Amino acid sequence: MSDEEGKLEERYRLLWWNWDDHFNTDPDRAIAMIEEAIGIAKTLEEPYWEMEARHWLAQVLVLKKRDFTKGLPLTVQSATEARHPMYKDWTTRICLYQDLIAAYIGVDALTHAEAIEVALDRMQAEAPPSSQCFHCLFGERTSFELNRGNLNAAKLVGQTYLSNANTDYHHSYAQIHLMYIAFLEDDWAAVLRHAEAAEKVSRPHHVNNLVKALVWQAVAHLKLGDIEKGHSLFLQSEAERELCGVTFGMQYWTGRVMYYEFSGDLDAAITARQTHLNTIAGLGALREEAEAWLDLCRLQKQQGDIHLETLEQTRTAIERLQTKGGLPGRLEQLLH
Amino acid sequence: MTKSQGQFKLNMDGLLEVLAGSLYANPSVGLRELIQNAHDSCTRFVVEAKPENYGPRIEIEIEANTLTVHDNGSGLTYEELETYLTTIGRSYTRELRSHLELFEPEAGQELIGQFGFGFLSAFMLANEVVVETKSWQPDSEALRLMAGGGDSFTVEAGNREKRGTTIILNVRAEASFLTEAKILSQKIRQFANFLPIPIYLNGQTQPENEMKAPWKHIDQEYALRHFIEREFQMPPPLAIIPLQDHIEIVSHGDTIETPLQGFLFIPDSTITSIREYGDLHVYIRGMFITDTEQELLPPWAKFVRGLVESPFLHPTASRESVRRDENFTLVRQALGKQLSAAMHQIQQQKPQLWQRIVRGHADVMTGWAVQDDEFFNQVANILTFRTSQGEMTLPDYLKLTDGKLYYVTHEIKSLQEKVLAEGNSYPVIEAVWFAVRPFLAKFAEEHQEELELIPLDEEPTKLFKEATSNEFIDLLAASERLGIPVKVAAFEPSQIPALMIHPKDAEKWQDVHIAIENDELDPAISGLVSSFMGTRPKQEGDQGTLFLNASCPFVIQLSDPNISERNQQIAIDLLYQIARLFSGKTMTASMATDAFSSLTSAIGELIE
Repeated sequence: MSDEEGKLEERYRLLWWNWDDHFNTDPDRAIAMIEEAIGIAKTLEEPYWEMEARHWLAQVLVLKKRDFTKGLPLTVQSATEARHPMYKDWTTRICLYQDLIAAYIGVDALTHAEAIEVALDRMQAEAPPSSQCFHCLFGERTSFELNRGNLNAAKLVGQTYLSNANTDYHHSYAQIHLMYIAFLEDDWAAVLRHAEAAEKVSRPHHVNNLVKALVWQAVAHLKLGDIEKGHSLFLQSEAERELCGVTFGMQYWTGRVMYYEFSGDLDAAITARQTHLNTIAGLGALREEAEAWLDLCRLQKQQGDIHLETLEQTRTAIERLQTKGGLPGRLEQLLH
Repeated sequence: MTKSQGQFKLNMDGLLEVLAGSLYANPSVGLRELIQNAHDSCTRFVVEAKPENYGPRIEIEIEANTLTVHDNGSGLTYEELETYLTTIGRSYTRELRSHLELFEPEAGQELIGQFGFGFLSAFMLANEVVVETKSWQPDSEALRLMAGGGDSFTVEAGNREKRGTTIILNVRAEASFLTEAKILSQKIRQFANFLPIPIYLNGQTQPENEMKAPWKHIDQEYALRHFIEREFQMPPPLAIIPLQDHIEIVSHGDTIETPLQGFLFIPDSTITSIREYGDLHVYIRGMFITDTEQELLPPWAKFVRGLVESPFLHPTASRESVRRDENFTLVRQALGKQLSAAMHQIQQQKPQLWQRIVRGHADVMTGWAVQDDEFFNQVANILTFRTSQGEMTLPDYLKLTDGKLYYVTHEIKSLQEKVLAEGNSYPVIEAVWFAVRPFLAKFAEEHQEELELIPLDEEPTKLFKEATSNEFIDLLAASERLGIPVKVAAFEPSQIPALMIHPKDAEKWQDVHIAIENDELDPAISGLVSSFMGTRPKQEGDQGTLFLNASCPFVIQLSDPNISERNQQIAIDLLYQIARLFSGKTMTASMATDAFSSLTSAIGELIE
């Protein structure tokens, strides 16, 4: 190995050790570091290193930036490349497949439900219970069921995910999922319980989940009558959000909208939903966009009338979905 | 219940235990406090007695487990022992300094003590402390104070003959490392190296401390280099920046003067997130406070280390760190400004040194500039970047490219990119290191109207100029009938007739097509991958597009309508195969076979 190659190898290692420090606080920086590492791996002709870095790039794009227009093609390419025999016994291969599943769950879990289910079934059969993939797959399955609207299944898998969780990371995600499921079931005591548990396990490393846990505690306290505590927790969530550089999705923004609604500030709730839509515009989260537009219709209707532009955008967003589910019906209900 | 008033009470035993046991992080700090008391005692003697011939000195001795600190300073009277030494929170030095600030401010600056806690720290080192003292004041008696922890002490007549104070400690097991002469010597240098009073250890004739800060030496540069090597355990730095008192004009006629001494230095290299610095050693009035101060330099200065001495800074009660107050902010601002000024000066006056600095710290500098707008504004025009024509600043670069920033995110080793860049006389920036691309993007954003950012890895055709297709219409038709995707553009150098341009990730998409066609995908994900490819917008030329060069005499000749279509096709096929090989993209075995079979058949026709 030449000196130059040695330096590049060292540089790759240093980047690898350090990029995850920035996942939640500055994902753009993490992306830049990973992209440099991919370049190094190519120069050194180290396919495993390149694939490893591509896996982490997908993680940041899909989970932290929620940028599916960039993340999905990347996961398709990587998962395809992982078919080559050299990757057969390579553990990260399953991670690459999971990245693809996670990306599709983010894009539109309902339209691609069948293919996602096949992938999850096969991989859950393949992943050894001792591996991290085993836990991650429970997380993906919970997210999948939640995103396609199967609340009972989501709750069941979420509870299994939680009871098996072996790290703060998995505990944190399991609690956040169960918190959101409890909200959809209108069980506010459970929302508060899971949000409080999520707060505990999300400090200090999972600040993205911490923000969600705090905002939902705020909402739950407002709902359950403790106004002062609700406002205080909301301020805490704002302070933590300042430190967090991730792009938030439906779970966070719905919490924020609910907080303003329960505070009686409908204008702020509408602004929050519009901000949500601006944040995810063009990133390829098709079902989330449609749901968010629909919710903006709901909020505007509460205020008086649904704006014509909002209605058009909502119809366009629903139209883009191959499987529309109950969305057109829900829009019709709002209109009449 | 009736309203009543009360007064807080002190539990002396508990308070002493907390202060002596928990105020300081490390028992060796007790030694620093004893040295500082001895120093202040000598300074006080100078201020109060104004002696004509006085050689202040501190002597430290160790014998078995006994540590003794002597000074020939002012000593203490019985009243002073009672009022100050044994009253926690009351400091004679602080009161004297307040007094001197009115009448002799410079003398006041020499005094270090502040809180009246220092004597307590002796109990971190020993369970029993004996103080032998005799005041300089006429007719003073020698006194001996004995304290054994708890809240009581005894004072009796002592037998000290000369003026001054001696503190005798029977060192505790947990502080016994200080009875090792080597460690004690190290600690004296760490805490009191710059104190102007000599400190002698175990009767040595040479003092342990240097008594003079390296920035005060005549050969400052040499002294600082030597000091950095020894104290920071680092190789010689790239640059040393001596600090000076900072004067800031705050409004018309008003200035703030921040007293500042010491130096900053730029080590040979840093790596972002991994080997960043930005730490300072801090001294206040010559006394060591900390060697891990991370917040006094501006956050972006992670490629810098140094030592700061400023009486403007306020220590915390334990004097192991610095209070974050208004003065802290002023010192930080002053450091930021002096560092920025020094960087600009180096860039202007020592360009080669500046290049070495930027090379060694490119990662951290560009990374922090992306994150910190203030730093970005300072360095945006002076950072240098590696380009295909050597290192240059962005303003110099832009003079050569008419407001366009061409970059590649890998080393410029592909022959095709080199040819394109050099053919156009445009330097191409190597944006290999991760922070460079975001930096360029930020730079372009700041100059929104004038600048265009062009990633050549993704958009090499930005180096092409449009060409009218009319004169090449027959040639394009011949190519189309051959099944080769061809376009015409003008580019330099004109000797090159054609280039093969692939869209980003073309090879990877080709691989996905092959996997689907050959049914090679893992069944777990084949549904998802096929679903994606089914909805993926059709990308023009995943297999690559051949760009014929309208500036090339050969291509112009080839477009002559007198040349038969068959001959045009043979020529285009040859160009196509050569351009594919030349493009630097990996070819599969079947692609290579196709290329050779096309080449051989074309050559075959030529031979015939």
